[in-house]
Order: sequence, then C-alpha cells, then structure tokens
Amino acid sequence: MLKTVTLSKLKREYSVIGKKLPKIDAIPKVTGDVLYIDNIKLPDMLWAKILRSPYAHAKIKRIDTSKAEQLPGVKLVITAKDLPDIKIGFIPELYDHSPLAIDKVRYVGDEVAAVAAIDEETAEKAIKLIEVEYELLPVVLDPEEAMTEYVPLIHENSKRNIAKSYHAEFGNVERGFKEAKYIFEDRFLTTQQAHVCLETHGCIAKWDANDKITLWESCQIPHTFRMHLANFLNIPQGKISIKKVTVGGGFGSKTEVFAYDIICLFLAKKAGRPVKLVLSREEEFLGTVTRHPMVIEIKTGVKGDGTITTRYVKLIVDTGAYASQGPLVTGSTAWKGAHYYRISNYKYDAHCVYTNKPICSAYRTFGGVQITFAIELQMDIIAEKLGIDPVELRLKNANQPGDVTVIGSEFWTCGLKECIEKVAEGINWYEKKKMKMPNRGLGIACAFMECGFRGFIGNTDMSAAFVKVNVDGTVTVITGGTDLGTGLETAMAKIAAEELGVRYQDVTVISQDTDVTPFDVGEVASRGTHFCGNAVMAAAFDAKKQIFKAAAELLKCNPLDLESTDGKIYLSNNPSVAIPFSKVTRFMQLEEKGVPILGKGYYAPDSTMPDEKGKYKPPGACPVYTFGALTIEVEVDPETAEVKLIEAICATDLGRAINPLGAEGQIEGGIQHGLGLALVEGLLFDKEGRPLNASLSDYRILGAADMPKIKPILVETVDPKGPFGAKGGSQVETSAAAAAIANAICDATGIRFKEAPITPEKILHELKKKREA
Amino acid sequence: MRIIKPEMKQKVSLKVNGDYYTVFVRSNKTLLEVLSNDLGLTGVKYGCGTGECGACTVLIDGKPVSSCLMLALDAEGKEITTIEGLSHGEKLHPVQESFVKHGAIQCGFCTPGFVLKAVALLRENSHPTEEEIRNYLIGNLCRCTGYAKIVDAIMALSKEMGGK
Repeated sequence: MLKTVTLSKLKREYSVIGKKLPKIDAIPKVTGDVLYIDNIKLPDMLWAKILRSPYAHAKIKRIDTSKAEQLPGVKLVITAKDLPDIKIGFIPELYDHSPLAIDKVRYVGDEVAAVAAIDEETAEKAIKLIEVEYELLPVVLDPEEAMTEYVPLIHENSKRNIAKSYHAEFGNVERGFKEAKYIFEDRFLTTQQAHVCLETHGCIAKWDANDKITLWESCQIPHTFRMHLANFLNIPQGKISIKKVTVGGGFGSKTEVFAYDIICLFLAKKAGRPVKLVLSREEEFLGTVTRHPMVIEIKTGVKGDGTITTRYVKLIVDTGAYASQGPLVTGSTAWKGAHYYRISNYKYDAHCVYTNKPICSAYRTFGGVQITFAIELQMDIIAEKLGIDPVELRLKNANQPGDVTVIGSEFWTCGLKECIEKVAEGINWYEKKKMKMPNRGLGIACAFMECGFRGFIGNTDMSAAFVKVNVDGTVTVITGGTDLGTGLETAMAKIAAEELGVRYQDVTVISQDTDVTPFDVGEVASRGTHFCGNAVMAAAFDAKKQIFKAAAELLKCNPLDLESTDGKIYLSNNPSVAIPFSKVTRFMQLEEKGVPILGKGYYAPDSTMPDEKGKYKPPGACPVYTFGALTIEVEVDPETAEVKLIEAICATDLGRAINPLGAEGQIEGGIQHGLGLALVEGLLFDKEGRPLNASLSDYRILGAADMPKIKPILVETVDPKGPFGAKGGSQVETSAAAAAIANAICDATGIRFKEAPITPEKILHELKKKREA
Repeated sequence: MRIIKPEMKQKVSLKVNGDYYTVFVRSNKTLLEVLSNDLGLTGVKYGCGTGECGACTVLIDGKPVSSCLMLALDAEGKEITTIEGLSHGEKLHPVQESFVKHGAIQCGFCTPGFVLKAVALLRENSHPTEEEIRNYLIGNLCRCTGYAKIVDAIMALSKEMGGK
C-alpha cells in the first residue's frame, strides 16, 4: 500500500485526480436511459402489495384473506403463517422484526399481509379485500415515557422498552466538573426526519427451481445485505445474488434487509414467478426507515478562559417499533460526543428505546446531526456566557492534527481549525458581527464524522477490488463499493486511471453484482472514496506491476524504471523510450502467453475495536476522520417569522478531492438535509400514533427557492493513509448546517431554540412572548 | 365488499416525441402510468403521485406538466415531449450538456424532470436571473444536490446563449 502512495506522490501533477470532470454516469442519467428498480420488468413477473397496519399498537385477532384470494388475477395472499420463523434486524441479539406481523402490530405501517397479482392494480385491489380484526393496545410514543415503569411493553422481552443501553467513562468526569469554573447543562430535542429519496424503495425477487435467489435491489450495501439475508434465510451466500440497480437516493435508508424483501422472496418462491414491489410515497414515509429523534442532555465543564475540559452526555434515542440499526446509531452518537473539541474527561449514558412509531435507522451522519445540534448550540451558549466570540471559542478548543481523543481516536490529519477560519472569513464574520443589521443573524457550527467504522458489521471494516485490463488496454474496475449518485464510480475510475496511467474515459466500473464483485462492507459512513479507493488503487498497482514486467521485456529495461501516463509506458528518466499501454496489454493477452491481466487489491485499515470499557487503541474506530465547519446568514421576518436563508459557507476537510465537482455537490446536497431538519422537517403523529404528514404535500423538504446560496470550500489535508490523500466527505455539512442555522436564528432573534425543527410557528410564539415581557 | 370489474379500456392515440402510439387504457390511468408502463419510457419517474416532486415532468405543447396529475385520455391530440425526445441521436440537448458539465446530476432520479423544466424556462425566458430560475424550479424536488449545481448549469447555459 505504502509503496503505491509513494510512487504516485512522486508525480508533480495528476492527470485526472482533482480535475473537474463529468461523472462517469452523467450521460445515461441525463438522457433518462439508466434503469432504476421501477423501470425493470422480468418476463412472467407478478406485482406485490403489502397490507399495513392502520394501528400503532394492536393485537391481531383474526385475518381473513379469502375474498382477496378470489379476486381474478390474484395469485397468492400470504400472512405470517405462510412464512418460516424468520426475524430480521441488524445486530443478531436484536433480530426483533417478523417480516409479516405475528400476533401483534407495533406501528402504523407494520406489515400484516401481502398479495402477489398479475398487475399492480389488481394487487392494490386485493389488499383492500383482506379483513383483519384488531384489538387495540395502549400506544407508547414518547421515548422517555416508554422507559418508565408500568408502561406497556412494545417488545415483551425488553426491559422498560429499552432495546440497548451503553455506558462508558473516559478520564474522570467528576473531577473534571469539580475543576471547571463554569458548568453548562442543556437539553436538546431533534425530530424524526425522513430520508425522502426521490425514488421510493423497491425490489424484484426471483427464487428459481434450483433454490437460487436473485434480488434486484436499490441498495447501498449489496454484500452486507447478502450476508444478512443468507443468515435470515439460512441459505449459503453463493445461492444468493444481489443485483444492485441504479439507486435513486440512499442517504442511509438502503442499508438493510427490509421486511418487504423477505415478503417478496417468499411470494416469488411460492408463486414460482418473479415478484416486483415498488413502494408508494406514503409507504416510503412509513414503511422504510427514518432518522432517530433524540433527547440529548449535555453537561459541559469549562475553565475561566473558555477551555472545555469535561463533558457528560445522556442520550435517549427513539428507534421506533424495531431496533434495526438503532443500537449502532446510539453507540455511534455517544462515541461522536468525545470529538470536535479537546476534552479530557467524557462520560455517556445512552439508551436506545422502542416506541410505536416507524422504524428509525441509518440516516446521513448516523447520529452526527443530532449530537452536533446539542454540542454546537451549547458552544454558542458558552460563548455568550463567557463573552467570547463563537468563532474564537471554537478555534480555542478545536481538535488538531496529532490529537488522540480521550476515547482513543487519533487524527493524523485534522483540518478543523482551517475549516473554521475559512468559513468565518468566507461570510465576513467579524465585520458583520460588528455592524449587526436588524433581524439578520449569523451562525457557525463545526462537525466531525467517522470515515468507515470498525464494528459496523462483525469486527471488520474492509474493501476490496479487482482491476481487469482488457486486450486493447481499456480497463474494467470491479469494486465491492456502490454508487448512490455520490460519484463513487467516477472516483474509482479516476483512481484506477491515475494509478495505471491510462485515460479516464478508457475506464469502466462494475459495482452492481455480488456474483462478480468482491466483498465490501458497503456505501456507509463516508467510506467509499477512502476504503474502496484504497482497494482500487492497490488492485490497479497490482495490475500495473504485471504490465510493467511485460513492458520491461519489450523495452529491455528494468520494470522499476518505468512510469505510465496517458496510455503510454516510458522510462522515467528518458520518456522518449516508450511503448503504448495497449500494445503491452495486447502482447500479454493475445500475442504472447495468453495471460489475463487481473489486479487484486484490498484495504484493511489499522482501525481498532474498543476494549470492554469502550476505549479504543489509536487510531480508533476509523483509520481517518473528517471535519467541517459551516457559517450561515439568515434574516428572520419579525412579523411572519419566515426565515430567509441568505448565504452558507461550508468547508470540509476531506483529505483530497478526487472529483471536486462531486465533492462540492455532496456538500451542497448535505446542507439541504441539515437545514431541513432544523427548519421544517419531521414526521408528526396524533396521540394514537397515526401519521399526520406522510405525503410530500404535508412533509416539506426544502426547494430550490428555499435554499441559500452555498459556497463550498474543499480543505485538502492530504492524509497519508488515503488514496492520493483522500479521506471522505458528504456528512459533516449536514451536521453543521442544522446547528449553524439554529445558532443564526438565535443571533437574529435573541431567542435560543433547543428543539428542532425551529418552525415559524415556534419562532412567532417566542417573539410574541418576548415582546409581551 | 364487492369485487370490482376492471373498467372498460378506451383507445387513445398519443403523440409522444413526434411519434404516434395507439394504446388501450382505462380511463383512470394517468399519463405517467401510460408513458412508463405501456410505452416503456424510462425517463418519466414516479416520485409521489401527487404533483409535488416533479420527477414525472413532461412537456405538453412545450409547457411543463406533472404527468402523474394528467389523465392519459386528456393528452390526446397534444404534443408530448419526454426526456427521450430531447436529445437527437447522439447529440445531447444544450440543457443536458450543461447539466453534465456542471455536475448537476447525482442519483439522477429527478434529473429528467429538472432538465425538461429548464428547457421550458429557457424557452420562456432565455436570460433568467438566479431568483427567477429558483422560483421556476419550485415544484421539482431534489434530495441530492441542494439545487446549487442545477441552478449553476442553467445560469451558465443562459450566459452562453448571450445572457448576463
């Protein structure tokens, strides 16, 4: 690995790395040619529909499917009794979700029965003919209430509705608070945000007579998905093929096996025909996953000069009706709290709690936006109390390169200070603070994010790749990673092109088929560029070694003296002695020995697992860490409380931007999720747990006219562990945006809101109270 | 409950991207369903079915319309343009080229809708201001890009077309 880095670093300028080039998949997407799950049809295919519970908590007394079965065109109706005893989930001790409800339902949207019919319309009609008799149970919606005694249990085997708790202490928190001059205690609440992928979830399941399963799936983690599915079904992985189709938005929502996958597979098995299911928008809101609403109590000890020394965090994480990835998100959120600033004592108590609401799971930042909201709003509270400028307070405490956090994370590179300085400068912070305009406000927030995370599945965190070089010198990269529109395939093509010295346009990428691609954890935790990139780089280097050996034979020189750029291989000290790349690859495969050129590479980083106390040996859970900061200016209308977003500046330390256009796009898009969470988004329920806004008419996401002008800044700290120095991107801006806007609203109105979303109604209410006071 | 008989299908002739297609559809079928299911056009997408997201945008006589809100029968006699009808052979439409060049595409699901919306905008107003662009795009949602590069792409093209 190190050797490839060294070799590549010798070059003064890169051919494609860092160049603004169109994405590899841009043209088929702009012409509408790419196929998403909804575009795929198989011969003889049936359509599935799922009957979902209209009640948030109820016993199932009786199900009668006879009328549905009689409807012409209906091939199959199934309920829990037609499925084997399977429970799904993400961590084995919390497989708590029967794909079709047994005995009781736990949220509005829980799967009760399913139909396969000759077309979608017939399936839709059929589910309306299924009769279900329910006996209503008391509904539990508030996670804090759910944890109290005498509250009904959503899962009978849980204690006080707690799926999992985490406790840890690093340093000595009690002593830290004793030594602090000021102690700040605040409580923050965040909302149940929906991912709102423009494409709704779906799959096509095929179970052939040889018991080979094929699942076409809009999926971020095909290999982990296959591994989990094989466990659930007790079927060898080799009998399961996951065909990842073009993903129409993921953001964490496509990182697990869903109940509908299991349902469709068994419909397909029983019907002996492929079965397709695409969720409606309402089902997308209720029947997939969402972001965990959290109650975050944070207590921070600060010295007189503003140095933060000690932090305690209590987390109540509402995971909805099933655990899913909730425990992992809970642990990760608690873990993140030890970062951002140089604290030496840290303690957390974190609980992942069931309620009768839609399932919460992975969503962009994996708890980062919630903990950032708490940390960064409190930073402004501290700054105000101490009379220190918010930017200065952050600069004073920010993590720096070489830091090892109290929890064991080691930062080889850390551009947090630079990010803070750049976003303050970009928005003209100090000038604007001096000449404050009425109703205008400025806000800043920092953010931190893991890159990969050892322990997400098993004890591993790895990526692998193959690089196949064709006879004519074109290259096929086979990566276990997936592209969600994030530009992963583009980045992999660029990395392979740069390492091999071929043209970017001569590289194609295969990432969609578990039968072909090597194992990879998947596209989560900002790991794609760093992990898959390192693997592709290693595979390309492996292929290059083979090619250079043959080239050296032809040029009669030492392979170590060779270099390649732009499709040519040449002597590094005498570039006029050269041979076309394609001539060598043709010579190797067609003319001489018939040797295929296949490079193999993997990346197994030096990240570590925690000890029993939750502490890591450096470098910690991740090989590298990403940082960012964001400033935003707003104007709050004192009459209507409308928040106008004027401008946002966001700086991200991503190590190196392999594709700057893509990296900027990630920042700009991530900001929309953060601002949306802080301003308008969140699922609402009545007291029976019935959703009030499960449609795009009622659940607003920010549109083009709502969004501020955004200036993305790429801070390149060039981490020696990364491919060409790359770490990861695409999440810190979401976390920072939510907190920065809350701080800006406070700056504009003088009112500190501690609960997201900060809607105009809430602002108006507080403004009125303030005027009356 | 009663078993509902499938409604009678009606014959409709649709002019899509310059070609005439005759299809038999139930009267309650939306134009979106017919374009994507019956005609197999992959660029027209279901995103919400309620006219909120714009993923199903097509041009009807040059005007952008959410095809999920229009009945197929109502589209008879009209000029329907989908993303498939925008490029000519291998040559992309200038709006498409600009989207590619400026990185306006991520997952791509909303892209055809935005491209068609931009085509309509630039036909109506070849030199829109940034605010006019953003306001015109209300009704098309994107969850990947934050709209920044989409707005950039349209602004840049407008400039190339002689705008300021």
